[in-house]
Amino acid sequence: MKVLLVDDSGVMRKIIARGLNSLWVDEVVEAADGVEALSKFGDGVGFDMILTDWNMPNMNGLEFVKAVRNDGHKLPIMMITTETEKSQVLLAIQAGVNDYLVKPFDQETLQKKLERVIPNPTLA
Amino acid sequence: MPLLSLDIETVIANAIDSSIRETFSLMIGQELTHVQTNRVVNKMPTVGKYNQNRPVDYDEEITVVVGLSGQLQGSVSVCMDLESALLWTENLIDHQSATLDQTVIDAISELGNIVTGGAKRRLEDRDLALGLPYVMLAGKSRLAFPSSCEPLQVEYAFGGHEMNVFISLTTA
Repeated sequence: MKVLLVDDSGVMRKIIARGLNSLWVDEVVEAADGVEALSKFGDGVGFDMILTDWNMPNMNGLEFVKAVRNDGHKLPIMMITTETEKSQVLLAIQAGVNDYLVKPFDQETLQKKLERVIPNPTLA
Repeated sequence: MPLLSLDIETVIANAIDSSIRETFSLMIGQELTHVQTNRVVNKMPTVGKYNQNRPVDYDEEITVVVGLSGQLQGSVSVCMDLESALLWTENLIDHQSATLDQTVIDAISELGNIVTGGAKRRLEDRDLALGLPYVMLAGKSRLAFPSSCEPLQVEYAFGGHEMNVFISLTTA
């Protein structure tokens, strides 16, 4: 299982990566903004999921998600953000986001959300 | 810029209080204890050349400031001593350090981000926008405010230490 984790905060990436590593994720590829994320995502081969922040410099999470979807990739994408206004949520869903994780969160919530989006291959 | 009415100020203070409690509880499993809330009367720094009797310790305290704009304008600042900052960082990402380093500053920045982001979520109807947080190696004794605002100082106890939130906002 390989996950692309996009957040401009190194601290937030560490928190989320710790949660991912406690699950059945083999590899976490980190990026600090949408531009770096697109570069690391490449043709998307091998990636099983994307976790992305919304507010980032250079290319924000919404633009990044649109770019991934416009290229025809169907992997699950979870947005991690403090934005919960209905209009914002609608924008994210329209862009192709599958699920939301609202900051702040505890490890249990993170794990539950991840389990919902990333199927445990050992249970398949 | 007009000062906030007491009703609006209460709503904002409650939003920030809920947000910071939620942040500490969810992110590091620590409950904050509210100590007191006061109006900031002395808006000038209480150290340095403004008070020769107090030594200036540049690195003993740390403050993250986040600017807000929209229907409300101003800033929210969270001040804590170095030990509290190290405790927050260690609990948040298992980073152990005896001194202030870039990771601690990043973790304190993130605290500012999450707390103000949570407050923004609770004040959806105010159409707020948040600025990028910035961190100062200075504490509450070095903060100063313009005479046109009436900041609130909310004191909490965190890990046996004092932590202060300064809410300095006016209506646009």
